[in-house]
Amino acid sequence: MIVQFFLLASFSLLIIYSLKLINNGHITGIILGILATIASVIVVVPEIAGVLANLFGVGRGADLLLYLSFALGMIMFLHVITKIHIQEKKITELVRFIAISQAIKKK
Amino acid sequence: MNNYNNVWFVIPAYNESKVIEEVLKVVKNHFSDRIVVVDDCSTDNTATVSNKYCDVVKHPINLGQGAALQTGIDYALKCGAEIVVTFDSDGQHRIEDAIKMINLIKLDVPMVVCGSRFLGVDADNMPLKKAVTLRLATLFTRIVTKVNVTDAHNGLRVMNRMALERIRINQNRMAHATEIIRKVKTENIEYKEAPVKILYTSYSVAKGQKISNIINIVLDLIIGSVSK
Repeated sequence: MIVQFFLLASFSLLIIYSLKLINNGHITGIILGILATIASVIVVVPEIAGVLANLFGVGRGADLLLYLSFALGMIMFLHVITKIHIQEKKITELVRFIAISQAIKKK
Repeated sequence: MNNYNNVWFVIPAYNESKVIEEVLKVVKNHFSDRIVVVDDCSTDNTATVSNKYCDVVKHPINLGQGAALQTGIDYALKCGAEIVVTFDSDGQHRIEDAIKMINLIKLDVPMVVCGSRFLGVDADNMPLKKAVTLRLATLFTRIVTKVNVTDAHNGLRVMNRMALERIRINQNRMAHATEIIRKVKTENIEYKEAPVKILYTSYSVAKGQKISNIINIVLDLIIGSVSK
């Protein structure tokens, strides 16, 4: 019960975050939202895991949950890496602006 | 033959105070004051030594060679450069090779001329490990960019203003070499290679790229593609 509560809370936060991404025009938000919703349903109605597993051609419900968690993790990882890369680009432009504006002419 | 009055040398440098003075003396003999050293936050006195010979632009934090090159290019274009030469600060490049490459550049089309150490001119003292690494890097660049390069990581390049306005280096570290070649293809920039001689010394070999850096370069290129 406690585990279900924490899992549901975590997936709910992911759903809210996915809505924010969708609102900002990121396609990853849709994929994240769908996966997090499926995961939440499985937590609430565990029996459905077996049905969904058969639908997706995966052996057991537990395996499906594992694959879903891995997929969610990879999406979040790529998303964070992309954000870091964008931040680095902004820092580079700022550093460049400062460096050129403080250029030292030949003595 | 191109007019040298519109040529600027961009020399990225990181902790090269021991060798950069000799490099600058040679370049200055031919190109006077149209030189900029981009000091990538060195911890030695590279900037002070360089400033005796040329303009210096200093990054307040270390960003990498790719970032330093773009900073230098931006500065040179701002100063009116029509042709920019990227030249290493460790003494590996020869000025006569740069001059030959400058004379190959056309000004009426976007064009890049890259030096290649594998076009028949033997390098002095190139370690075998280095040769193997460079060949692998070149093969990788050919596959990724579909440009028939022979030396993907040669820092001696000559680019005209039209090409530089289409190439913007976003890769801060060593993946910039592949990025430049990729942009040559995607931006329809005329591309030529010229044989150059690289002078290897124990100093430059020690400072050079390690084979393990290939992993960083591949990862940087993947992240750069994903985050577009």
